[in-house]
Parts: sequence; C-alpha cells; structure tokens
Amino acid sequence: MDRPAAIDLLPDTYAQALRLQDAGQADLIPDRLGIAPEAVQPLLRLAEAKLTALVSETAE
Amino acid sequence: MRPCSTQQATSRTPAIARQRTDVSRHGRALPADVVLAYGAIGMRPTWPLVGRSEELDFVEGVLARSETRGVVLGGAPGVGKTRLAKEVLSLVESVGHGVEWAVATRSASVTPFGALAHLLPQELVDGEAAGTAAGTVNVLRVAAAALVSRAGDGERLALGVDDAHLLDASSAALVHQLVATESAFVVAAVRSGEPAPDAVVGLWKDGLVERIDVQPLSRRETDRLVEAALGSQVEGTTRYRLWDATRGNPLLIRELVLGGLDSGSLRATDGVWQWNGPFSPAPRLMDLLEARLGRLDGVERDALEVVAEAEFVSGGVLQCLAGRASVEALERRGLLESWREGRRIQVRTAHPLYVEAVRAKTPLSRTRSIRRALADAVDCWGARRREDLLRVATWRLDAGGALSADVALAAARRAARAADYELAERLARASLGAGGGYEATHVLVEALTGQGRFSEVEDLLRGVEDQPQPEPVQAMSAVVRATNLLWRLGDAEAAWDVLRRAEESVGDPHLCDELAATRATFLVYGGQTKQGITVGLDVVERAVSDRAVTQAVPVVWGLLLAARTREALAFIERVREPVDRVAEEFPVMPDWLGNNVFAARFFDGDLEEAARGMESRYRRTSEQGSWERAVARWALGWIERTRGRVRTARRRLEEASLLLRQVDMLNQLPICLAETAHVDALLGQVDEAEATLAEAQRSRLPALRHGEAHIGLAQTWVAAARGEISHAIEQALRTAETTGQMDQVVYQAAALHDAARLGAAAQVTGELHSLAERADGQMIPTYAEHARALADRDAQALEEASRAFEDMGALLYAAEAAAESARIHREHGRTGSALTASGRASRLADACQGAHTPALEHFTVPLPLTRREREVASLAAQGLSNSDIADRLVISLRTVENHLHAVYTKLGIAGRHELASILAGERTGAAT
Repeated sequence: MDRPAAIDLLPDTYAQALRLQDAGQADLIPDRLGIAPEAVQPLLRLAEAKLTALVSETAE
Repeated sequence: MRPCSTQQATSRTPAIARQRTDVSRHGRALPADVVLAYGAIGMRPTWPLVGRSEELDFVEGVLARSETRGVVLGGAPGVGKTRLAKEVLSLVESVGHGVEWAVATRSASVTPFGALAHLLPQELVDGEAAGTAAGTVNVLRVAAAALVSRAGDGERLALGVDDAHLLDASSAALVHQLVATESAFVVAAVRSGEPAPDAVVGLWKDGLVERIDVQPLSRRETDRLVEAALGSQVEGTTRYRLWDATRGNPLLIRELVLGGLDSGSLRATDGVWQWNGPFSPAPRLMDLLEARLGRLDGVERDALEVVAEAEFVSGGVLQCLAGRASVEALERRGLLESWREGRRIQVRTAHPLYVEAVRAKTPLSRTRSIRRALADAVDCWGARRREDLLRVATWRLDAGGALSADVALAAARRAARAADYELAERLARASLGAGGGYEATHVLVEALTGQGRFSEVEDLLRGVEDQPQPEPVQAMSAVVRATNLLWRLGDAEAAWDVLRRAEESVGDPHLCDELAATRATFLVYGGQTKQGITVGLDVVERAVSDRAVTQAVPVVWGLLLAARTREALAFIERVREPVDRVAEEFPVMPDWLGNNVFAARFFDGDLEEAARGMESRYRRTSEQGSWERAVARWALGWIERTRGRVRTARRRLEEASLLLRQVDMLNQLPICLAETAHVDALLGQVDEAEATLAEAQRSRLPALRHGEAHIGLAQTWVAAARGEISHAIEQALRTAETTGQMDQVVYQAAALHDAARLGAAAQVTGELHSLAERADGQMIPTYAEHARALADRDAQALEEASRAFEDMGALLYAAEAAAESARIHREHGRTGSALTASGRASRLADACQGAHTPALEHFTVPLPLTRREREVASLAAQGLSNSDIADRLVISLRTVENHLHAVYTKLGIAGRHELASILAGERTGAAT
C-alpha cells in the first residue's frame, strides 16, 4: 500500500497533519488542526508510528 | 465504564507486559495491544484497550528520559484520555513510582484545593492562611510536601489528574509547582478546546511536560475494539456503520453497542454479530449527546434540525432556511462543520451521532415541514449533485407531497443503485401511482428482489405477461421473470417455458439476442456448460446490441469452469466496453466482470493475487448491498480454503452465510455452506461439518448445478474426517464423474486431485494428465504432477510439486506433498533428505491454521542423536559459535567440534546452516 493510500486510513487529524508535513507546510498544523504548537511534534511522531503499524498490518 | 482504581491499575501492569508479547490464540497472530476479552454472547461486553500501542510506546520513551516530569493528554470528550492516563500511571507505577489519582470537577473548581482535598491534610484545606498571598506560598510548599510524602519510601510520586482544565486555581498552582520542582511525575488529562488555568497551560507551554493530543480510533482499530468487546466476528456493514456513526470515539462506540445490545438491534447469529435497523441512540447515549450539544436557543435548534434532517446541505441553502447568524454560531461552538466541494460549501453536523440525537427530539410535524422546505430550497438553488435528485424526491415523498412519474422513477433507480431497496420500492410505487409504465414496474421488481420477496416478483410479472405489451417489454419481462423462476423460486420448468414462449413470440433480432443470452446463462448454470458457452459466444460475436452482449456476461463463468481461462480473459476484454455503456441499466455487470478476473487468477493458480483482488472488492462493498458483500465474502472463503488458511476461510464464510440467509439472489448459500462444511472437516469438527452439509443440501435449488461440485468436494472431506477413507475416495470419484459430464473441468480436476491425496493416485493420474493437457493455468497441471509423483512414489517429484504449490500459495497441498516426500525418503533410509522434507512439511502445515488431513499424519522423523548432540545442535542452529557453545555448556571447544561432526554425519548434512530446518521438523505426532 502506498503512503497516500495508507494515510487515508488514519483518523482525520493524523492524516491531515501528515499531508501538511509531506507538503512542507507543517507550520500550518496548529492553526489548521487546532493543536497546541507544543503538541505538534508528538502528533507527527504518533501519526508516523500509526502509519507504520497500519502498513505492516496490511502486509500481513 | 467502571472507574479504574489505583489497585486495578497496579494489577494491570503485568497484563500490559503480557499483552505486548502475546501473539497467538485461536491459531492466528493477534495485534500486540489487543487483549481479547471473550465475553460470551448474552453477557455484557468487556472493553479492552485497543489502538493505543503507539501512545504507550511514546510515553515509555518519555519515561526513559531522566529529565521527564510528566505528560498531558489532550483530546475531545470520550476519546479515551482518562483510560489512557490510567494505563500510563500503570506504566509509571511499574518503574517504581507511588501513584495517586484526582478528578477535577466544575463544582469543586470554586473551592481552593477542591480537586486534591482527599490527598491533603484536612487542616491544610481548611486553613485561613490559604487565602493570603504569603500564606498561599507557604501552603503550597506544605501541600507539596504532604502530597510527595504519600509516595512510599524511596518512591517518587506519580499524580494523575483527570479533567485538569477544571482544576481550581490552588490545585493548579500546586500541580505546576510539583512539576517545576521535579517533586512528582504528573499525568494530566485535559479536554481540547476548553479554557484551562494558566498554571495548567504552562505545563506544556513552558516545556515542563510533553503534551499528546489523543485522537479517535481508526476504522480498523474500531473494528478490532468492537470484535474484541463482543467476543466474535462482526458483519462488515455493521462494522462500517459503527465506525461511520462514531468516527472512532471509544465512548460513543461503547454506548452505541450497549444500546444496541439492550434494544436487540445488535445480535449474533451463528457467531456473527449484525445490527438490524437504524441507529436509535439509547437513553444513556442520548444524554451524552445532549450534553455535547449543550444549550441551544430556538434559532440555533431550528438550524441544527435542518442540518440533521438533510445530513448534509449546501451553505447557501442552509443560510436561506436558517439564517447566517445561527449557522455561524453553531460552527463556532463546534456543532457544525463545513467543507468545500468544488465551488460549493457543504455543511453537516460535526459528529454523525448528533443527527440521531437531534432527530429523536424533533416533532414529526416539524420534520415534515423541514423536508418540504429542503426540497423546495434545493430545487430552487438548482439540484446539481447526483444525490440531489434522490434526496429531493425522498423529502417530497416523506412530506406527503406529489411526485411526477418520471421524477419518482429516476429517484427509484438511484435508490436501487445504492441498494436502498425499501426506498426504491416506495419511489417505484409512487411512480406507478403517478402513471408510470413498465419501467417503474422493472425498478419495483429490482427493489422486491433486493429484499428477497421473490414470490411477489412472480405475481407482479405474471400480471405483466397477461397484458399486451410492446416487444421490448415482453422480452425484458420474460428475462426477468424466467430468471426469478429459475434462480430464486427453483422452478426450472416454468422458467424455461417463459423463455421459450418469449423466443417464439418476439421477432426483433436484437431482442432475440438478449433472450439467447439468457438461454446461454441458464445452460451454463444448469450444467450444460459446453452448450451454454457456444450459445453465449455466438451472441457476443454477432450481436450489435450492448444489452445483449451484457446479458451474455455470465457465460464467462462457463469458460472458467471449463479451464479455458485465456478465452475467459479475452471474452472479458471483448465485452468490457459494451458493459460499461449500459452500466446504468445493468449495474451489477461491471462488478461481475471484475469478480471473474479474480476468479481467472484463482483457477490459474495465482491464489494470492485472487485473494488480494477479492479482499479489495469486499472493502468497497461495505457501503453497498449485502448481496454484493456476501458474494465477495464467500469467494474469499473459497480462495482461503484453497490456500490452506482454514480459520481465515471460516471467518469469511461465516459472514457470507449470515448475509445469504437474509437475501440470496442467486442461490449462493449452498456453495457457501458447502465450503464451510469442507473447512470444518479440515479442522476436524465433524459434527459441525455434517450439520452444515445437510443444510447446504436442503438449500440447494436442484435446477442450478453450480453448487453441486462444492457439496461433493465437502462430502469427500467430511468422510475423510470421519476416517472413512475408502468412502471418501468413492465420493471424490463420483464428484469427478458428475462434474466431468457437465464439462466443469476445474471441479473435475479438484475432485480427482482429492482422490489422489487420499490414496487413489494411481487410479486418477492418467485422467488428470488428460485434463492438464487442455487446461489453461498452472493449477491443474500441478495437480497432475502431484498425482503422478504420488503414484510413482517419487520423493524428488513430490518435493517439486510441493514447491510449485507453495509458489501458487496453496500451502496445504504443498505441506501434503512435502510430508509424503519425507515418508518416502525415510523408507529408503535417506534420513537427511527425510528430515529436510519433514521440516518443510512442518513449516507449511503450521501456516494452515490447524488444518489436518490424512496426508499430514505421522510424517515426522525422530532425530537419531544423543541428548548432548541434540543440545549442541540446537545451540548451533540458533547461531551460537563453537566457542559460545563451549562456554554455555561448560565443555571444551574440541568436544563441541566432535559433537557437531557426529551430528552432521548422522543427519547426512554438510553443515550447521541446514540444522534449523531439520530441527524444526522434529515434532511429535501429526501436524497441529
């Protein structure tokens, strides 16, 4: 499964955060998603971790 | 959800450690963070923690940093912050912290130290000094010391605070101080979007703690949670609806499921849960939703009622009906959300369940008035979306308004496409009532068929035939009526009679082609495969009408059954464009073509590609009608059974059976049940297999012969599971004969292969090779090679057959071939080869999820090694060097080398690189 297809399967906030990051617009995450700036890095790390888990689960 | 006390959190710590390593129950690997609580059906579900592995891993990483002082978990109501906070405290406690828990409330927020009063000395909470600035500083110092001292000797305090955004100022200041001075580790949950005391906000803004915003569960995580809570499989559309309604919010999921159990809407049949009927929130869920909606003034409620009724509406229409100010107010409060669709703004409720909550409180007269207003407004603005036609027609109908015959017909067609057959019926009848003609009757027939009301279809169409009709109507009506008579009512004689009369009376050549196409389909599915193929191919070659070509599509199944896969794929390419051109009129045909592409892969021997394709098709059907889902599911069950993944097959077939028992448009239930019986026999569940097989036979319509083979194959393996091998072989040969007479080559070959697997290889190998010569694909030739290798007792050829089956993904056949190879090698004293083959068979059999056949019995070979030699071999197989082994066993290096030399000699191998597979083959008894 490619990255965009896998991102589509994540909960909305994770999906939007990763798309903004992939587009080089991570600085827009707090405003667009209503997230505290300090919570952005943990959010992105969790989103990537969820994505990895999803892809490996699908591969099984 | 029962509150989790500290003691419960403590006792859960070992469980967390266990669940992270637990991998296998019921014969398949489970995600590490799912602790399955199999509440028996009829008992209240228990709710395990699902979908939070990554969050817990993140927190573990935070804990591992020496400078860490705590975490704040933010999130929407019901997303699971409290539950997660308690799991985090369990982790914290496991590394040597003393844990305390506090809950902030709105009522306690006006009292200094209100939230922490139960943890502080009474005099501190009551003290007058708490009121002055200097006193406050001193009080904070004393309070901090008192809290910290609650942890045991040598333990650091871990303080959990729920709803920390509601903390009173003193408690907030105290928590901040504890963190700032590193006196305690704090885990706090705060609701996103709510104002919080500065001291709480400062925790993450000042970088003192990590803030994690907890998100709802994904669709897959929601599926896992629901199935874990209910203890068994949940049907696909039910899973989709639960996720769609709750958007992964665990609290809403729980309340919806509990409400469904209480009302009986959610119930299990044969171990598969299904929700019947609409979602009506139970009182507890309504309370939750009402609390979320909060206080609404009259104008705001009016606006929300409009959106709830419409489910989604364009911004322009909404402002027209409800006014800009109220809409904006509701958006600011987070009750409505909008998004851009092309040039339009669409608006809907911020959460799907708000729709149910608002509708439940909207009076009927108001609902009707809203529907009328919506219909007028959308018409006025210009209904442009494809769905608008159906929505406007439905609103008018529900509001008691009049619809023209054409509008009602067009809307009925849309509803039927969306598999909303009840709505399609209402609209079709409205069209007929307004003077609609046969086309409306046709849609009504489709709607009744979709609801399984086949006798009513026959009554309706008999009435049509009795009246004089133009030829196109005669032809179409005859096709539909004959199909209903044959496929659903099982009256073959009447079906053929209707078709014959139509062919005699209709003169238009295009219509004659359509009738011939139907005849071809009847022949194929009636067991006259060759004849049906000839008629169908002739129609496709000569017909100029897309309708006729499309109606010949089912003939491709005949080509596949005859193992003429290349012709089948060429046929599919030939008809693809005509089918697409009339897809509006024959909506199931594009999917039917797609399914047959995957079937071609399956019969050719590309099982993994076939499974992938059908799985992807199944995922797309969750929002469609149940029949499409059932077909995708039973096909997957068949593929997985052939792959040897018998428990996976069982799950697929269970869901398919549930759906087909409700509506079975093409008599697929017998096939599904036969496959289920086959799988149960492979699992050794003989009683279940026999009962299911009996039901399969009862539900079969005798005129349709496409299910016979599956029943015959299942009967073979049920007999084998009973230990009646001779009887099983006889059954397999009977099935081969019957299917051979019908030119169903793939089934004939499968039955002959089964006979070979059971011990009659010499008897069938010639016939299998003849079939292989004319069959496309790899599967039948590999059957033939397997049979020959068995008949010749050729161990090497059996190994080659095993590898060929494994490449195709047919692991059970591969395991059996390797097992027989091991037995033959052993008989010839080739111990090394026997051990290698045995190891291979074990590995393959392990992947078959508990399938057991006579060929897999007693193939294991005991190792001819002493205890010490076995020990040295085992360590070497694990990758230890000779010197490591010497150290581990406290023996000399030379002794290790001597032992290994003896091992290689006895096992007939060249070196340690072969040890792992050989040791894997050393298992006692049959494969399990």
